[in-house]
Amino acid sequence: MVDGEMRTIDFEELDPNFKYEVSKEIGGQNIKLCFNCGICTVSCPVRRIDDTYNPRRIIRMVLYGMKKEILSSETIWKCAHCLTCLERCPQDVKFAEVIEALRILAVREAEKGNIEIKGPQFPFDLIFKDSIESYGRVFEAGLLSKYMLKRKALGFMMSFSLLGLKMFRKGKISLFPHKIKALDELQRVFKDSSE
Amino acid sequence: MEMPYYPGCSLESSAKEYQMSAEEVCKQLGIELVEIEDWNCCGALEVSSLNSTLSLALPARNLKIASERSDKLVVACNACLNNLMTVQHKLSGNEDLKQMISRILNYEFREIEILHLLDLIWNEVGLENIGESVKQQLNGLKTVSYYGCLSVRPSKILKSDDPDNPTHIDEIVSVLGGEPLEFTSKTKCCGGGLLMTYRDIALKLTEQILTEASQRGAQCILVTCPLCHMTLETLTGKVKTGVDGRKIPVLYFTQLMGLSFGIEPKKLGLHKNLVSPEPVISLIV
Repeated sequence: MVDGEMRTIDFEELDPNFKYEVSKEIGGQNIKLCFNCGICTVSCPVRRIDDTYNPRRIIRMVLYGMKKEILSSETIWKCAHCLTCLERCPQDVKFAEVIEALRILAVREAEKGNIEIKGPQFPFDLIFKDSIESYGRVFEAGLLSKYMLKRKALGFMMSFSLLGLKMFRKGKISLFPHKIKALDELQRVFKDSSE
Repeated sequence: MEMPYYPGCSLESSAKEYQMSAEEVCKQLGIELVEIEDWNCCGALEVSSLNSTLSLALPARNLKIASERSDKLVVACNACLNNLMTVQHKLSGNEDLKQMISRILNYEFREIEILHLLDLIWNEVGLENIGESVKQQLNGLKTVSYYGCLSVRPSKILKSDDPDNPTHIDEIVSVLGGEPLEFTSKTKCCGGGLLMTYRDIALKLTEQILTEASQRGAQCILVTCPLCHMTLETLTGKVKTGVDGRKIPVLYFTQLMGLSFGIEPKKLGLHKNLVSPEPVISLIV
């Protein structure tokens, strides 16, 4: 069950190598140490509010090899990065970092056209990263306006425009980005990190 | 005393009042915060979902700049602090990662001391010296200290005084003449990381924190992180806190320290807070 829908596991669709794939990623190394105690899940604040988000279930799905189902689920994008799971795990699985490894694998699969990523977090992260690549620092006004256009939800746009206006009046929004001096060097770091 | 300093992107725009009050308070305590040259964004919570190498390289570039000048780096934002400390921890414990990042950044990695602005003030200035700068007692102002997640977890790396019940802000408030209240939400998550994307979840998480603050009778919530500040302030108006419906001012701990040091509210950026801090100011000044 992921994103709230229950179904039977189809053994034909399982990829037994998936757990190795995850454990090769930075952050995913300790996934196989999980002994299923569930402390990640009982201590997760997001889980208490949205019961489609379940860290233990996500780990089990990885270990069972439910690759496509987990990577194409919206659930892996809902972690708030509070690190409570990472703090409390007796096996040092570092679930908050496992989630990042899963997101990176999802992005890779999406680039190959194998899956489609759901939800607003991925586009937000992309716009955020672009902002750093363009200026070296985050340009909040640019970031938020690009993201609002992307979301296209009227209510969302209204409430954020009002907030933006309020912040602008308070002098808390810079209208121009701060470009770092060594932007060329930083953009080379972006390029070298993507190889 | 000059102190190498990494403010982070928020302090240049949405958290200007944190930057202003941090500088003012440090000046009063004999510290000059000197920004490390040409620093870049640490990648916040967003880059690690897209590119793991980049999520190491971005903080590491700042560590490189800092380590070329000094053995120490003071950080104002919890998320930046977490990224910088976690990356330093990963690089020092993993030869392969260290070599990869050294190659990308042309950087001979060496460990430096990274600490939060709060730790600088609590540890290196100390409560006694803080007490000597107090000009206006807080007159029993009831406060709750909200640390959030990223300056306390993981405790193996972050080294705060206590990952569940840190007390340094409370201790400072006591010295200023305020009354720090017990607060079990101190290190619970406000959902800041989801503020722009899953707002309904962030709203419910913030509601729990604001409700406890309200039930305990807090007149002011103190924070150490621009992301927490933004989340608590923007969602305050949308939450029914149960007790009397009033909005509780959310101040950076440096803003409250500045008020008690007799620094003009405008210099502390108090006019920039979204939830009016007037009730706090009028009690003190």
